[in-house]
Amino acid sequence: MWRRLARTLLAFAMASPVAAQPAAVGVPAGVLRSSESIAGELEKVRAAMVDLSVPDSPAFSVLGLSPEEVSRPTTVRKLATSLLNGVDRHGVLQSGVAVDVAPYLAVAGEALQISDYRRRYGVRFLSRLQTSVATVKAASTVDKATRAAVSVRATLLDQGDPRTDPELDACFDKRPALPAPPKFIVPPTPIDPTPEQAAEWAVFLKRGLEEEQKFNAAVDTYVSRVRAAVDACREEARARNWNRTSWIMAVARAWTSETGAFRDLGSTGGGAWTTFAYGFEGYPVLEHSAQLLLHARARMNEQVARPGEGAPPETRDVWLLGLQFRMGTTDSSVALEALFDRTRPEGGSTASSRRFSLGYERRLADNLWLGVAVGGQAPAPEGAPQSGGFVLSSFKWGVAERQTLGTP
Amino acid sequence: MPVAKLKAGGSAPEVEIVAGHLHRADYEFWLYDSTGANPIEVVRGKTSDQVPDKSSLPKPLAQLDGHLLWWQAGLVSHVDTAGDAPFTVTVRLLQDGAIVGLDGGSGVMNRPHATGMLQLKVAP
Repeated sequence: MWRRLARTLLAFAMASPVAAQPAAVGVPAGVLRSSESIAGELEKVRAAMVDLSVPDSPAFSVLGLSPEEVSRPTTVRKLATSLLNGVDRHGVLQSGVAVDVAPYLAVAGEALQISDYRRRYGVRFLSRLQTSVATVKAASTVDKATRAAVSVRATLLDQGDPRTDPELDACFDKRPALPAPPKFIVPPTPIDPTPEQAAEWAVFLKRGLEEEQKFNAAVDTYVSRVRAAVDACREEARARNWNRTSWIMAVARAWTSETGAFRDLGSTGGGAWTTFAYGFEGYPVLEHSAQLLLHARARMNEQVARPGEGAPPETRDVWLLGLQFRMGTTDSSVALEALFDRTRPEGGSTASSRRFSLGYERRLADNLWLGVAVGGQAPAPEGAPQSGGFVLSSFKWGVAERQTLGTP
Repeated sequence: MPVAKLKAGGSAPEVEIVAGHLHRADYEFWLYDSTGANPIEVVRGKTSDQVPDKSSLPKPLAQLDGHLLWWQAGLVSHVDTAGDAPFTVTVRLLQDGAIVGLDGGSGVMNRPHATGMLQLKVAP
């Protein structure tokens, strides 16, 4: 079946109107011949694919931040401290704040049991809720200007949740057992003991303390051994669950204060993201190796740096819809992406574009892989001749010695 | 040391363990005599299965006075957690549906182990 698919794909690509009209759309003649570096072309396909996941911390994304140090409070006290650090006692926002918190876990964590999490969707939903807060010095001529953002990220569905993975629990069952209990423990101090009772208790105390020492040493060993075993179990679970069906949504709102004061914050846009990932559960081969992503995002008042020193950033609204399929087995790999985006700069007109890319490789024999890489865009990129349809910016095929796209 | 006050005329007591922060706990309870010797296993289990984490004690109520109920729990998180992520374990001794003894442990996942004990007192 795979050989037929490869042949069909090649035949389709070679016979397609786009591939058949290289001169008409201005594709250099050399593009359509066999490439000796098909592995490099496939790597480019993979590298060029847009990240269609919902950001972990949308508040950071909406401000264009990748903070090195993020505060992740796990208790109410730590959460309050983190937030209070964001505003000084004069009500002035402090820049450089980056807080990422699961609020329900921070507030109700002590009472949250794994059994409740597995039984109730509401507990799962609330526990997975993530909120982020960030502040940054605004790219403004006003020295005190500060930007702030808050976001909420909700996981509506996650079939790859490790907390509900029975195989992970089975793996944990195999981790080192708890240390053996002590043979003796120290009994409570007797109240008003007779000299005989006091002497007897001293014996109990001595043997109890000796056993306690041995037990504590056994706990130290247990802790170090169990940590390695648990890490290995989680790693296996990650590899097993990477492509499971999930649905995540997030919204973020940004504000700017020209004076830096909290009270002067004014709304300056935001963003919304959603990604539905389908994991082909129940389909042999695909359920362990493939994932289909449907992604939509909208960014309002996104600020993008313009070329040139000191140039003010461009403000624009951006919408993007993307579809991505990735699959990797020991014998074949495919990566396919289609994107549709619309951009409206402030005071400008709306521009739309469509892009696609495809990489496919199939093992023909040991150390011999057939590869195909195709990419296109409509309308044509700046400088390329315009045409009615997609511009085929690259089409290459060839053979390589190794698998390049690999497992996603 | 926390003391559990049991009524001689009450029902057979039960011990219960709860692990918070969505962690799984593997636990053991042992009953020692009043000198801190001769341990008898009460129960061992894990909080992630379908089995209730509640068990009766292996001796009649009348013989429990002065005994020591010792427990230990090993915690594990299903997700990667920071080393300073907290854990909480609560141990309760129940009689006639009421909590008559309370113990517990808390710490961080760098050292995911907790232990403690309760002294049992039976009064008329």
